[in-house]
Amino acid sequence: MTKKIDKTDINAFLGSLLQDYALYAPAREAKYVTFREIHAPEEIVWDCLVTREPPKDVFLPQTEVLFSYIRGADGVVVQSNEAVERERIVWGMRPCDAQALLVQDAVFDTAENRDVYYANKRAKTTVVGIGCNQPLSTCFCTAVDGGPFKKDGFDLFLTDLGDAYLSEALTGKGEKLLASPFFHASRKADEKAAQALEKAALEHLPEAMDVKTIQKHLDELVASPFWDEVQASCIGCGVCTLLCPVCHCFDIVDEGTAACGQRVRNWDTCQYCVYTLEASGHNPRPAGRERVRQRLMHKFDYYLVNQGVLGCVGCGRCVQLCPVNLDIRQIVDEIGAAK
Amino acid sequence: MIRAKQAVKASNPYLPVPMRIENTHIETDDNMLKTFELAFVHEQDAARFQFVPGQFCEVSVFGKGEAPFGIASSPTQPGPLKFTVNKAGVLTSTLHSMGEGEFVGLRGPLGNGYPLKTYEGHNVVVIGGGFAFTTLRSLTEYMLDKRNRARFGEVSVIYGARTPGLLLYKEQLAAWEQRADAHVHLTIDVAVPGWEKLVGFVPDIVAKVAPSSKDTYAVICGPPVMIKFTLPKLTALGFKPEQIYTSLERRMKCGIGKCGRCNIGPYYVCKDGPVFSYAQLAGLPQEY
Amino acid sequence: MREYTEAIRQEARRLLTDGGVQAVIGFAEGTLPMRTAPFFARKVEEAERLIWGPYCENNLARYLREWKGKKVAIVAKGCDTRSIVALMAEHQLMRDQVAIIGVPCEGMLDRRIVARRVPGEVLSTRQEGQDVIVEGLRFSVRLPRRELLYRSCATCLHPNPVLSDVLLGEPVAIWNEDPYAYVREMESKPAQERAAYFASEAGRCIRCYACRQVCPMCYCEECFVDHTTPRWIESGVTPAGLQGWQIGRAYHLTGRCVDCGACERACPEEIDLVYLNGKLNKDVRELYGFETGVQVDELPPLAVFLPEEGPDFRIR
Repeated sequence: MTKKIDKTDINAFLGSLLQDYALYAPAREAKYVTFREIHAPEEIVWDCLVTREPPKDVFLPQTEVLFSYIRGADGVVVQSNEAVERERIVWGMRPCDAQALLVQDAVFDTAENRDVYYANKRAKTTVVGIGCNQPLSTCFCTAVDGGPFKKDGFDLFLTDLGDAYLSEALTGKGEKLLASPFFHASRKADEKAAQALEKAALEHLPEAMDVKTIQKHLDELVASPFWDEVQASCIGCGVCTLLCPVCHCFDIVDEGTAACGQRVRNWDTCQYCVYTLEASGHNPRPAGRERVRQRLMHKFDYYLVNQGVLGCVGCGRCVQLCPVNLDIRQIVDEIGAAK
Repeated sequence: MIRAKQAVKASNPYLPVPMRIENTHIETDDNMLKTFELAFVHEQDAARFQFVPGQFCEVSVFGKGEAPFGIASSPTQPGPLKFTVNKAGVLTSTLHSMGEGEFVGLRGPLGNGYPLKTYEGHNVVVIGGGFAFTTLRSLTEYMLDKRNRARFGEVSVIYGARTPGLLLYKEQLAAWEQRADAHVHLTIDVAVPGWEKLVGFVPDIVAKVAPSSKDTYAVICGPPVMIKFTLPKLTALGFKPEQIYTSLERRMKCGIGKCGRCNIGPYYVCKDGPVFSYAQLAGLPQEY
Repeated sequence: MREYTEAIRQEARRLLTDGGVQAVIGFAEGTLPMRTAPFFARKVEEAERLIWGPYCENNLARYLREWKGKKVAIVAKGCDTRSIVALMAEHQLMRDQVAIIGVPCEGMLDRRIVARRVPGEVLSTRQEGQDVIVEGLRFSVRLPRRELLYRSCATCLHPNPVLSDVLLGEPVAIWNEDPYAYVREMESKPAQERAAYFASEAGRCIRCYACRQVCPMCYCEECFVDHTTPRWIESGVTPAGLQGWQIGRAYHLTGRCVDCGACERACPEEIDLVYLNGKLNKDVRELYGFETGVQVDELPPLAVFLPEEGPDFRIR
């Protein structure tokens, strides 16, 4: 079902949502805009296409307590809190970030060994998306099977028509929001306008990459000196992976003593030199060559094999934020053109 | 922290169950390898635990963390689970200092285990080096158990360590040597007085023993250098990559294919392995 | 802004032909407006890719650790040469292993300031005298370069290379009056306010370690945060972990930091790092009369104890 909400009503609507939901939206944080919890609709920044941090930590917090433990008479007692009490809304997510969530779902929300921490948060969250009328020059969702108005992964999808948001419910959760009296009927003209916006946006975005060729070349380039060249300027920080909406590697550590403490998981990254370091001192990925290769192969090869989707959604954060301007688009082009 | 309302032990894959250390036994004369016998504190956890040789568990040393250890005991042997631990870092050093009556945590069984159905009806050559023999012990015990023996062909064990004192499971090895239905070849790197058995590096002993590759699977676990030099010997004997299996080791955390750490190519060593055939590993980055 | 591109290429060609260097470390064109990328020219033909401009913001001395044992050339601004001198003082580098192509620097432009001063995505910029023309899809804005410098560049005391084999231009005049004005401003605030500021800045840290990885002086094979026996700092993004990391790194850089600002530029959360390192550098300057990497062969006071120093070496 599709309806419409006027921009003059949007803050009142969001204010009503804040009664029942915790709301996460793009909002100002120090000098930039990022996804965080907001407490007033006025905090929302509507024209930020790519937030500094993706909404990743709404479902996978950077630091999360898995359980606490305490030693007792007949063993160590473990107490966990996977339940999510409050309903949440992520508001204003872009199609690239939603696609990233779907990739993470395939890893975490599995039938066997379901990650209850992640899955419970997903179950209690309504995801409201918004289309990208004006993609940035660093956006390349269309190159990786995405699109500025792609609706996969959303419960409700908004299109900015100028004076109003066209609002399409895609799931029951979306219908629930759409039932609010702030929404009124939309017209055929609105949907035509939305289509025109999508067409205009697509003109600024690149063509789809030849995924099969890139995957094939990646398999062939495993031992190639190509990787020595690519990684030459990489400094081995974690910016690309930590700010990536898809990346989800994590570390698990115990904080505390043998008698009591917590087991915590923290985001981690395959780009750190210590990531694969073993207690013996042996490191299967000893140099930048192996680590940079891992990132590219995981995103453009292994995810395809395992989940049937790419591990890159074209948000462009890594492109914008890499301290040495290592550009994944350029690397993928070179891989495609190799040999 | 509120206690979760349901029976989370089954539904939250990150929660360990409590285990009591029943016994510890130092395996090697350098005191670096110690076998721990762990018993389930709760009956229902014991009842739920069904494993096959080759699987591993994430053992929790609370306050230090978790680490993966291959199950050294066989499912055919009732009683506590056996794990042999090499003292290498923070967690293993702490574990080594723990004794009978103390508690650890356990998650498992994890991993794929050895493909027993594939091996059935065939000969199996078990090749081990150093302290990588843990799950090979489980596999060998399983095959030699009277309930299973008839399903496998010839069972051979080629196992080498630097010195006699560094061989694991000396009692077990002695028992196998007594059996008519197993061929056991033990070797050490350099001759020492009192050692009557084979002398030589495992790759050379494999070439010398020259197991036939016909209808045979080779299962090899050991330090990278041993594997590197043994594989060509097996190839020379006619073993194809799909006939050679290994158990890979990687630093692990979640053990269930989510944290990403043990990823090699499209595989997760914890979930799709740790047992792989060399046919599966061909073409992948050699990140192990 | 001064043009050095041709001079850099010429010198690079010369060095790659008969200068005995395995590579010239410099900058090549970036893939985005206002960016350049560190580049390693290994063959004479590759010298053509080297450029110079107002966005050569990385401290290339950071890469020298990967070329140990090999002779390389490096395009170096004032701050970069200070890093080279500091690395030499710490025995991380031999003088004869690096051919320094010195570039008197007029300061690098802060792409974040530029982005915030215009009403849309920046698609291109160009220099026009002392101004920068910034253009996007629907705007063209002229901004004075003076307002766009990185803070470390606006307060820079050493834009001219302190050491070089070749100097590509006349020294630039120092434009800054007071390098530590911003530190003094912070010092004048009450303790609670300073603590709150530090906590809120550190609170945004995501432990990406870009600051560490981009810094020429963070060359430890094992960083203190990666040490496990014992684990000095919590791994998570708790206040203890974040503040521990920020303070630990700042202290490990005391008397070693050259104020280049590379850390702050690399930080994806735009954490104020320059003030923290600046404070410690100011203290070292006042207590020991020492500025890192300015005098070749000067001993770093916190790394060295001389018998004749006596009890006064302690901070009062």
